Amino acid sequence: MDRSAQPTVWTVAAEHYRQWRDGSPTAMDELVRCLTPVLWQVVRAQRLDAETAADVVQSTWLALVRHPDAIRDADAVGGWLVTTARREAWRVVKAGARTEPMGELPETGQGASAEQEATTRWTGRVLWDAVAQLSQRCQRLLRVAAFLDRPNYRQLAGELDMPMGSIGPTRSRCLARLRTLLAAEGVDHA
Amino acid sequence: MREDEALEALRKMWERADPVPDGLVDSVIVAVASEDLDAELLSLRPVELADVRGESAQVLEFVSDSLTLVVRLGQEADGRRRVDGWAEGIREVALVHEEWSRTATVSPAGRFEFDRVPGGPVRLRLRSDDGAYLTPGFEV
Repeated sequence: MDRSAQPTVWTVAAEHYRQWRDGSPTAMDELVRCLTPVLWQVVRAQRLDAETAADVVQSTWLALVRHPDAIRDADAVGGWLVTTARREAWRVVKAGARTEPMGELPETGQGASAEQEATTRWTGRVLWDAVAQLSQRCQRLLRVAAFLDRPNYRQLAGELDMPMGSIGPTRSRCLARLRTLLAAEGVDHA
Repeated sequence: MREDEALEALRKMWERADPVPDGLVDSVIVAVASEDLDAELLSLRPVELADVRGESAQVLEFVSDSLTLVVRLGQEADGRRRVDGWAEGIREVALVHEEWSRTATVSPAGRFEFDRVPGGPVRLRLRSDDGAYLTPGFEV
């Protein structure tokens, strides 16, 4: 699948942001709907508890509307929001905010067929248990990387305390380790 | 399993295991909207007509404690309207109609202009380093 050929969450976000800057009052609502799920994952990757994470997500959005001139190019809005959210999450963790361990995989799943649900639940469970065996650093990197597109990796380096060139290789090593763990559980997608 | 497939599987897992809490999106939307509502409403001050040059021009002055905005409404040769404005310290301006809205560049001196404006009721929304401002509706 060529990701650049079709609209991604990032290109959709950029379009909403452009419309908002041009004065469409509803475009900001659409932008919030589009990117809040991504920001949530990015913030939760820092293991903040749900209440603190929600506050961080909300302050990130308010920072955007209070400083609209922080973003010159509308295409940069997704990257800016993600970076702002991640820095704020990181800041509150340093300041002693409550964090929590990785939780249990919830037993939900509306709208899926029983068969689908059983499959998803099984692979989800195995995947979840495998991820839990990875180092904290791998867990955090993979969680953020799963919700970003590649250009955004550049911004990750500083905050994960890794040289920029090592994000890609580290991500690959974490994924390789994950695949080994999955293979040991008899899950072989290769 | 290719890397992008693995990341896709992880994304689905986390979306399912730790979804955005109910109500977070709505509360963000409300918070963002109230931020906009914090815009200070400017009031219209009568301007002495002696200051107006040209028969088709009209000058409006909008004020608050912290901002004075002068707007000149003019007409172009083809009958469409133009809006010229000046307010010290502003960096963003939008001309807002019920169905459309346009932004204009603000000069360092705080001047801006909108040309070829269709006639009708509009408002101006401005932003300075100190905050946001909104004029009452006026007819272009």
